[in-house]
Amino acid sequence: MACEEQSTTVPQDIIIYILYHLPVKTLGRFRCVSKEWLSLLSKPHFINTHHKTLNRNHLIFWSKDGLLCSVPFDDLEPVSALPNLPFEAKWCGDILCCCNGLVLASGRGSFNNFAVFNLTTKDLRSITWKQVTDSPYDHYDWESYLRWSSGVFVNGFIHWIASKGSDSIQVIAAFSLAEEKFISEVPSPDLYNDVDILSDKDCELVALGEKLAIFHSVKGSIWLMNEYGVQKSWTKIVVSEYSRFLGVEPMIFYDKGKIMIEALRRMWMYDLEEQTFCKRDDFKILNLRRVISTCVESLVSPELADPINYRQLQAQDGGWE
Amino acid sequence: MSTSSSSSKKIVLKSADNETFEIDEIVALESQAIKNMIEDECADNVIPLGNIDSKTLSKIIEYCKKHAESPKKDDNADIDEKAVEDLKSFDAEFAKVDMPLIQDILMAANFLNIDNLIGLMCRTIADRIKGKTPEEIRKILNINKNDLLSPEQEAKAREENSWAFD
Repeated sequence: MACEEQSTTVPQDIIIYILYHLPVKTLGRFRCVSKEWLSLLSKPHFINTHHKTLNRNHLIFWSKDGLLCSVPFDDLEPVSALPNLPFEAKWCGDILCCCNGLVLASGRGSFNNFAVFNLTTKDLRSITWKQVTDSPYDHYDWESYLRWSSGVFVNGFIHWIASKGSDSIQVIAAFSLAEEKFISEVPSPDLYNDVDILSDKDCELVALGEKLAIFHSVKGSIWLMNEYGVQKSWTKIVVSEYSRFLGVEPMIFYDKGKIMIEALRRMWMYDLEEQTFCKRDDFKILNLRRVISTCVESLVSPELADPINYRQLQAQDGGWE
Repeated sequence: MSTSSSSSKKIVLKSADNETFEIDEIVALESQAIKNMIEDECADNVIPLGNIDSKTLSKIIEYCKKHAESPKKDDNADIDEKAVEDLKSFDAEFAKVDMPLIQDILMAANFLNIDNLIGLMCRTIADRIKGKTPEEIRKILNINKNDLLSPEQEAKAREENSWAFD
């Protein structure tokens, strides 16, 4: 199929739908196509719609060579190294949170060193932090202190399992990024005969796709909140044949309708409908040391991590609807 | 599930080069634009499509026929899966045409408001242009020469997006 010269010009309002399907790296190159494309591909409205439409997940991991790497689930080669952090970061706990293509990293054990970088463009900014003083939750309870180490981002809020009040009731706390304050708690599942899962130390809060979930890493059960904030929408999924992971600490991810489970540096894919496991041998080439997280790719700039910049850019973002 | 029969209502479409196509109404209804015309009763016996040539129109009709005939979702879960697979391989075959025709189909599908076909053509074009250079894109998508970046602007854009050129 030769690339014939032709007279048809696809108008810009249709071109935009084509561009939504392209990977971030391609779009970075296409910023040089024309003035119009450069302007379009830099607009926050385009950038936000693009990463939600493309929804291309990457696995973030430490390799055996001691490098922090990422690779898309749908194309395991080549692996790309993440940018060097402006502080010492090794192995555990340094990647705190990923959302909208941005990764938040911190220096080990230090609350003064934070950096936000874009997974794909590698653009990195050191950021300052702001202390929230009016939290109604107990931060000194040892068990929940551990859990505070990483929040789960869903629907514009960061969530933690936290304890509240003198009798230390476990709740799902939600912090609004727009309002910079804690809002009302997310209702936990109606438990019927089940034990209080939020108090179970084997339970953790996770984000599966765009949904909030509670994962029991020993029993292999998953509570999934199908409709954000609606208690009745919590549904329990029991992963069959989960006993194969007994005694290891699996990590759980979500990619395009499938649950991914990483255990002992091997990747498994669980089909929710068929209730079957499939071992992903292709992940063997990755030289995994430790899996950290997943993150979508996007053109979002880490500059947007600063709320003032974000509002200014949004105000400038006219047209292209 | 409906299949064509001699008794079903017919619609005639006329292309820009004056070729006429008689199709079942159910096939024409895949186009939201034609559906609206029929519902508003502004469709005469013949619907003229002055901006779509016969080559493009016959491809569009081929697509609509297949999609109109295949069972819609929630008919029956068992049929569903097989039909979905069948439709998927039809779509894949359908998209194996050259870029100018794909762009003509996309423009026509946009005019006729056939959502699935717009999506299919956009994904197809995206797949084809994924690995191309900016120069190649300008040619393939016939980008207006008056809208090109100046050499200085282009150098700056390349510099700022050097991560994308490795």
